[in-house]
Amino acid sequence: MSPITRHELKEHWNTFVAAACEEAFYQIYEYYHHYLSYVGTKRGFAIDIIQDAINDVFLHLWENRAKSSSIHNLHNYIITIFLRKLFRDDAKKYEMIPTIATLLENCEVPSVEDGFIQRYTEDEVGRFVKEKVDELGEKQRLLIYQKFYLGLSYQEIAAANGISINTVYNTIYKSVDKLRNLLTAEQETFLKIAIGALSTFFLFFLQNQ
Amino acid sequence: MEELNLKALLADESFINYCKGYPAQDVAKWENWLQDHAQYRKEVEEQKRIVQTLAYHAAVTTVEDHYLRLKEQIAKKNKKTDTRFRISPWLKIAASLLLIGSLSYLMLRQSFLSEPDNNKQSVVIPGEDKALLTLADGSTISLDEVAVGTLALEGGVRVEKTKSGQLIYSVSESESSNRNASNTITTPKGGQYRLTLPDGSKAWLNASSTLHYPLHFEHNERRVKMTGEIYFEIAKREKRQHGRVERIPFYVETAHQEIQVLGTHFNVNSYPDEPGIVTTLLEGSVRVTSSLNGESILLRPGQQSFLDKHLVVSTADVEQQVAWTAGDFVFKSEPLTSILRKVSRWYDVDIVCPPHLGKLKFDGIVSRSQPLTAIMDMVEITGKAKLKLIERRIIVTD
Repeated sequence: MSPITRHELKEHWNTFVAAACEEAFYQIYEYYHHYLSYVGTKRGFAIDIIQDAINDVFLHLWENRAKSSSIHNLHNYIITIFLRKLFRDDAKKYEMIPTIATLLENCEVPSVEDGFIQRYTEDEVGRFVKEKVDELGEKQRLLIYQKFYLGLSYQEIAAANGISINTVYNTIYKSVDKLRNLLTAEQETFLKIAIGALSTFFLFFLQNQ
Repeated sequence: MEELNLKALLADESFINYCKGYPAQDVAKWENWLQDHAQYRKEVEEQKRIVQTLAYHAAVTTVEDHYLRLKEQIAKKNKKTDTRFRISPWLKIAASLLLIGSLSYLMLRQSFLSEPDNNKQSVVIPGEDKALLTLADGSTISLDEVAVGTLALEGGVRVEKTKSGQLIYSVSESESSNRNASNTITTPKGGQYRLTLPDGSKAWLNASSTLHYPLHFEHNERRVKMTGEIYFEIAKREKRQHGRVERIPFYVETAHQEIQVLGTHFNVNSYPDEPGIVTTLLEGSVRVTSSLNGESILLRPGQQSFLDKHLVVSTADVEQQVAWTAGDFVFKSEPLTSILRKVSRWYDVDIVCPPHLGKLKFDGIVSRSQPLTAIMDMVEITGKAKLKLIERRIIVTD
């Protein structure tokens, strides 16, 4: 799961247009899932409304894949549909949003485009951590995603999920603490290996920005 | 040794930013802190890795789960779903390949901290006439891609793209059913655009800017909203009232400021990442009013106002302020951070610059049609700072 670049995105889009290729479709989905979740939350929308709107956008893209070659600017196209879905096709509210551009310009998504990355998937610790993350509830995972991956503020996350800042913070702290204890107790050796691997990739990635 | 307070660490937004490696000032802040508190380094590193690992897995799982839901929606909509439509092992294979690739790459490199290759530099070309027009019905037109000619007829107003690549509005019926209709023009990073509004006023958008305007201006006032940087030439418009001729004012609204205009030339720079809003008057007169505290100032030609918390008037360097409309960057003892903000908008690149270097001041004139390297060379040639371009990011070092 690498944060793909705009250029790669274009290639995935061309592949999808040419062959309705699902792998390419997923890459675009993943990219915009991060981007739109970030932008939508920054703009104060509830996370479930944002998530529904994202899937509506991609449902639309998939259903109209035969006509996709007529889309010239994928980014603007996606943003436009996303906004319409967010406002539930309510033209009155749609006019209320300042402009598409302010929404885009005031929101950079650091993690998606600049981000950090670790790619270790098949080793012991990777599986161990993945298992633990899978054990977390969907809501807990979502909060961790919003905080650690998207880098939204505690306040923004609380507002988007309709819960208090304390709840967000405690949930995240508990998840971290739990993982930390599990790792130190049982997986010290594995962790050491993983730490080596992680920092390696981290540096590699930063250096190639 | 005092125990590190994990709870406090996680509550600190800047620490999480440090773990994410962005933004640079938070990374620098924690690197500095670790210099002074070396005893905590091991613990902090461990904490950072846990945050990264959790981030990675939570993101993968959240997106995959959510994608599965999309697939259910697709299946529901289409009963004869293609059976091949499912998440393939492709992602995992791709990830493994990347992993192997990264490892081989690293083995070839002796040190992670060695200087990046200079041949990674690619030519970054300057911006061009590029913008997105959003019509009253919400549909959008990419102005750099669309052909010359009439683009739309909305509520008695014709929207036309000229051969020289400008947008012109002309009113064909003065009465219209939809008087509230409005359009928005938006330039991306690396874009600029010129247009003539329905009242004959001209606006020239710099990169990363927007202008929101009605198709039919009111009879007693004209009002537009903007972000970013726009140069205006406002056409004089008059109305007859009680047998007298009065000028119809033109208002420009930005986030924290309103400008009242009677027919004049001026430039407004209101980018959110600049320290304040700068309004520079070339001709005529304008009244600038802060919507933060109601302060109001009448500008004379050659003056500029600066609005941060308060509204301040000074003598403007007009040439420098509107150099962009003449196709130039003009820097006069300008801090590097300010130069790089302009560069970032015009060349659509990111900037990483340590604060102590950002304060260095530079002079120079560079055409906006030059590739990015022209400005980078201008700075580097002074020997005060080094600029490296990696992908689309400029990294400034001592």
